[in-house]
Amino acid sequence: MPNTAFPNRTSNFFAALLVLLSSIAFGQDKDQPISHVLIRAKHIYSPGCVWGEKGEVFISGGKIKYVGPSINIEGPLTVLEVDSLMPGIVDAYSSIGLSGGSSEVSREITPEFDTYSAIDWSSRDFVEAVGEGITTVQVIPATESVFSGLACIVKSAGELKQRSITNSGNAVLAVCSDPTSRNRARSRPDGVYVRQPTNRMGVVWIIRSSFNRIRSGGKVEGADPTASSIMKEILDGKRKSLAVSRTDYDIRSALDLGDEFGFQPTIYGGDEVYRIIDEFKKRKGKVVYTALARSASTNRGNEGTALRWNVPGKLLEADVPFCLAGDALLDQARFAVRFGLTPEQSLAAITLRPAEMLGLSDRIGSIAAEKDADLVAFNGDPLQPTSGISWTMVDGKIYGNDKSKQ
Amino acid sequence: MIINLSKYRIGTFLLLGLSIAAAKLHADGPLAIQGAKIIPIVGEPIAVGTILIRDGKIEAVGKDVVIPGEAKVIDATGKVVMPGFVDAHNAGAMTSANERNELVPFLSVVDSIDPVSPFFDECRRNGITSSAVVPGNSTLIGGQAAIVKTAGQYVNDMLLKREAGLKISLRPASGNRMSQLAKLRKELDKAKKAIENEAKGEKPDSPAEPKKEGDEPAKPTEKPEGGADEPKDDNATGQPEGSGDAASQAAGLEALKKAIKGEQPVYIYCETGMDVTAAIQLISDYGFKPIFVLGPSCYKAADLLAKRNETVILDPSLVFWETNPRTREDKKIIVPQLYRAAKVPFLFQTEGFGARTSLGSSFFWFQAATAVKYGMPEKEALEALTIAPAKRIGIEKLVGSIEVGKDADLLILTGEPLNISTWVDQTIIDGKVVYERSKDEKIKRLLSPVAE
Repeated sequence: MPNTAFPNRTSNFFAALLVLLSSIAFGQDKDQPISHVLIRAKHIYSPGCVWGEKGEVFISGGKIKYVGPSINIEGPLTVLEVDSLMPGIVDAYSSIGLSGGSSEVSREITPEFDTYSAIDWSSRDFVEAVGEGITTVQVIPATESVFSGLACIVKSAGELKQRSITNSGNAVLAVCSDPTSRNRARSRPDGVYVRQPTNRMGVVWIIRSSFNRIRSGGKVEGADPTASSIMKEILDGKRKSLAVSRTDYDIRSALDLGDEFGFQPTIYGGDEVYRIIDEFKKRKGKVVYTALARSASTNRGNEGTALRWNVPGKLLEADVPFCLAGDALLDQARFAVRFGLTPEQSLAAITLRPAEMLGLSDRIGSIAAEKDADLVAFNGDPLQPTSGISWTMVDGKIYGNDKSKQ
Repeated sequence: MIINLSKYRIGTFLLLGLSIAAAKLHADGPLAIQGAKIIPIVGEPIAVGTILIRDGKIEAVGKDVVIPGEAKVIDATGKVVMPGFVDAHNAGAMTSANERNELVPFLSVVDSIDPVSPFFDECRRNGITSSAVVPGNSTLIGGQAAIVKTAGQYVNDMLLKREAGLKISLRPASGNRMSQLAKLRKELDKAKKAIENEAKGEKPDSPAEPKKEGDEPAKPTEKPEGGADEPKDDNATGQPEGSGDAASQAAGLEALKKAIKGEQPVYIYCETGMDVTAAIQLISDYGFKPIFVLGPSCYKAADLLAKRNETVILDPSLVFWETNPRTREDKKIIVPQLYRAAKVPFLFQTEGFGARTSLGSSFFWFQAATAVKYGMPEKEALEALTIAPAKRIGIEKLVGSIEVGKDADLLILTGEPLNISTWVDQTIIDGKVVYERSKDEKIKRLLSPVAE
């Protein structure tokens, strides 16, 4: 594959020699952005690449320029030799860096509240995320109010002005019992802890009545006009929405509300989706599955919650679009392999699949030309628990596992 | 004469009956495991070998072991056989980890073990064949540990060792560290004084000396009803808390004396680095044999532990983050790496019952894999699951490796032990198959979840 940035017909040996010389001559500081990088990996694990084959990746200006079995290249560049390389991990359900409370307690309908403006960029969460190979996260507000706010999608490291990677965040709906949890029995009737809804019927009622009001040209009471316009965007199909729903009946309610008002929320959580999998498939549901983060412990009750081990396998079998999300995402993928997915399917479930869910698969999620240079290097097979991360690259810049100061 | 003869006959019948019973116990006959890769832990791995088991013990191991005609044969071609895992510290077998009362040296975990609890199912499913059942860390002197095999109908079938260690925790169950240590020293002083008095030939001043049954030590199980649940109002009478009656007080004193004499070790839980310092002082003052059970931040005292040259038991949380409160610098703490650097040998613990810090920390193999990820050689990691804990709790003559004469506690694995896709295919305890994955209905349900 003679794809090169600086076309050159010299032999591989000569090129390698030049590379060696140039990397000495232009030896770069790791903290400085690297302009041209060639990564030689003994194994590349990525959707769209031959699984586990040897390969080389050329990076320029924070983007992947070429991927191939071998690249003939000349010029000032840094060469990195690694054992295994995979795309940066994409976590579609995170509360990373969200500071100063994550749920509004005074109002139920706050679709205009955006997580992006509440992120503490120097939070340790980001350092930890980079250390775990996570390069992109969707930050979602907590679900204690019904229209919780707008999610944002950000890179886990880099210059602040480049961190946000979407203009239009997903609107978050809590179609579950979470919003009722704020209410406390026996507190003063005018206190902030006594609000509607006090039960799950009320959750659905708030969603239905607000959408009805907007649909008939009304406004959200007591809120900024932005709130109404965001809700109108959802109804007009101009803004995507997600519903946090875990039980089978919550998932059904979310889909029902979507049908009623003509939008299709992606289901986040989805613990019990396996119970209604045929219906879910028929209704063209999509799920960001987070229950695996909580279910590998085997000492829990032998029924109920523990039944979740191979829900990803079920989703795949039913051909339902899904990805994994939540805590310890790399370990989730490892356990997903243990529980029944192939390594390819499992790795895709934390890279390309979440990128597709977020509508960003043209930018992130796999090692391919013109995508962001978001990569994770390992000292062995990424899906084995004995393999460690050597470094994580975000937009072409390397963050070492040990000196992960940003 | 006639009477004597008939007596003799009865005797023979009895003997015959006994031998039939004995034969029934091992009615399975010899068992051979064939075709597997064998990782004996002690000694080099055998690429393809055979293990012959007779009467619950390993009779032969090797490449060319002759299988007797009457042996039942397990074909383990393509699989890996290794010794069962040994858990050196776990309260999971107990119905609750700690007594409400914090000063209960007279209690024994034996009274609290339910052989049919799901805990033991999980042990066999995950390859743990021996487990030291130790009271939890929320205590002062929490009672006496026991070592059990993880299969059996009744506790007595499972017991390897009663009085396998006294549990002491330096993390205050109530009050602060000063009072925790003061209370602890008060109890230890009493026991030390009792030993000194005995040495001088004086009668012990404990109110009721427990009965001795040969070599069998005093059973703290004889505590009268309600003994441990007595309200803590007995401080007023100058008696130690929780030992509301003379018998349990005496049994408690006996347990402490045994610990000080070194007849049973002390599982000493240190939550922080400063607890390690306190523990070392206690050891030098009272002379008990410690087994260190360490909290996450004890790595700060790794140099002190290194000087003792003892195998310690690590907290289940092996990797975590710390932020320096002054500089706000974030630091990833990789516990196994730090102890290896300090040359402190260690064992793993698992987390159960929901208190996980990571996805895999409820599995022993995963804990070992994590240590390997951060630089521990695989051989050492496997030893830390088998022979090293067996040595630590004093059962290495019976278990912990595949050697002739040892108990046949074996795992047949579907692949290499630390691989993510490897499952325990069969677990064998004392030569009996106690777990078969092909018959494990729970695993089947977990792996093909359907609405029920």
